[in-house]
Amino acid sequence: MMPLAVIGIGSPFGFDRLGWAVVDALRGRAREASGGWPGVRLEKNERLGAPLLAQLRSVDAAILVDALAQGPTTGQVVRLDGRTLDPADSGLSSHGFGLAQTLATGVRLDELPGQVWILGLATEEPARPPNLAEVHRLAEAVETEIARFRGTSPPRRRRPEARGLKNR
Amino acid sequence: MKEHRELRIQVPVLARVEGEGALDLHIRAGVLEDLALRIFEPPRLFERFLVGREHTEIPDIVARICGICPVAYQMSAVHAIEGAFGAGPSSWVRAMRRVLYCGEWIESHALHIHLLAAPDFLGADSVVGLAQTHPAEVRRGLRLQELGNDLIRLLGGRAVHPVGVRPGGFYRAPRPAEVTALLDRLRAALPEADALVAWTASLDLPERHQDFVSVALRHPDEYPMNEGRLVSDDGLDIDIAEYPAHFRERHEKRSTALHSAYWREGISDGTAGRPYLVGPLARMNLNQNQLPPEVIALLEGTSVSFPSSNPFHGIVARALEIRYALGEATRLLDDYRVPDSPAVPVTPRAATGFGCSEAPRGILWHRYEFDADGRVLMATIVPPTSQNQARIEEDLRLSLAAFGLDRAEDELRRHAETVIRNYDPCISCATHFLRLRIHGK
Repeated sequence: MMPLAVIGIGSPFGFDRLGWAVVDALRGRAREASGGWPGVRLEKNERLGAPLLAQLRSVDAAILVDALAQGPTTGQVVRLDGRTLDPADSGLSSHGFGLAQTLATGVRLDELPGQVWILGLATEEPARPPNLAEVHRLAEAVETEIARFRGTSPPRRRRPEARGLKNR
Repeated sequence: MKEHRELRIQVPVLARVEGEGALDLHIRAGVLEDLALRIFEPPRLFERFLVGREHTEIPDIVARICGICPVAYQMSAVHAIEGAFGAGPSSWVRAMRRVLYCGEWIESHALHIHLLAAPDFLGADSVVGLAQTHPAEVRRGLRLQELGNDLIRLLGGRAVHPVGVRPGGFYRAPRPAEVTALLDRLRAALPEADALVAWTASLDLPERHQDFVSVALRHPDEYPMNEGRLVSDDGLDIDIAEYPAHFRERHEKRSTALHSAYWREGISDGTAGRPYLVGPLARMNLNQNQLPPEVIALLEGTSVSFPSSNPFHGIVARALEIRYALGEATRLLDDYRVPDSPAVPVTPRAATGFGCSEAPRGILWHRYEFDADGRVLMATIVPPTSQNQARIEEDLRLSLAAFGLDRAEDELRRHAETVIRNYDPCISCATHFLRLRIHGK
């Protein structure tokens, strides 16, 4: 059994792309790491419901990376316990069956891993793509979480702005 | 007292349907005075996006119209393109297109039965509640949905907005090992589908018998998916190119989806036409003789029979189609071989082409005009939900009257939502180009 899945949730459009972009960034970081990240599966999800539950079925723990709707936490990295989300919050989803409903269904069917954490970032401009600084900030938070699971220390990284990369 | 009450019921956002719609009801003195299914999701403008595009781009663009039934859009489009350019698919392509469509029927129907409709008939607010009371059934639904998704992935490259389809066939033929792995899972799922048919037929479905016209494709040799003539249970039997002569779209102020009406000389009133039904129940009503013996035997073991005038028997028709699609995909893949080429050549010419296939929710009609280089001059797409919209409103009037207009407000609201969800409307698909009229300067 794989101990940890990191799953970017989203679509190719606008800020919703954030989860996929963070997984792309993490794949680069895993390649750079000496020996890679054994036991860590980096994946993308394009549809909630049955496909996400299938991705979660074969792991001990999961980190879900997602763009969040505008709210009081705009601009901050948010960490939520995926096993305790309120299913009454349908969020932005197809058929009113969103992330909260998928995870609540998984809990009731006893098909979720023991730990499911959601790491996300909110924006006030959902139509624009995420910029490099946002992808970096969330990837760093996820990498710290991965290190915690693996019992290692996350590497110290320079922010993309400091490396001369401009925001889109 | 109840006969004199005035009740305005508003469901501002319909739950467990795809897209954004609302329902307004006005009941006064025991009479349903006004009923409006409002679709307010912004129009999608896809028909205009297609103008000027190469014919090779169409399958990938139209797949974006719907995340649940992208294969249907691709299939109607490629048949229209090939019809315009005089190309015919090989027997391998024809078989694999049916397999791909089986995947879409399985995933879409399994989603609707278990996650969207079943909670209405089992007293649950949502699938989350249903998972508590009926975990085995919800697990079955999730497994079937995932199997359908994997079947789409086999030929489409991915389950959502697949990219494997092109005019003439596919970009890639699956390897035999991929097919073998899926075949084992398809066979293993057959008993689950058998149980599903019995389970849907045993649900406490409302007894409603309504007079409506069913419209679907009919093929002489098989249960229809990609090809056939358009038929109705009141005697219509036409080539798909004749669709505009009998089916008319009109714009209603309350909706960004066009309303379709069926019209036949000497049968329909005036020029307004009448509502009609498309989708699994209409297909089953018109094509049950094309089901294989083992599926007919399953149906005969239940208390439901087709043709049926009860719209709620749509859930049983969906279950039967899941069983049929599992068997059909197994049959077609059992004989799988890698072809010399996964596509036939398609050479463009100035022409008009028509495509009509059976999306999970019913007939999906496409028409394209091309220039000599194969660029789109004009595109028309008529999705199933806009065809069913008038029928849903008609059903709501009849069902609410049969349910009892003197019922409590929350009971009426729940029943109305159940009626709408029974059609599995895809509002995102139905939203359409709005005609803009400018007065003065």
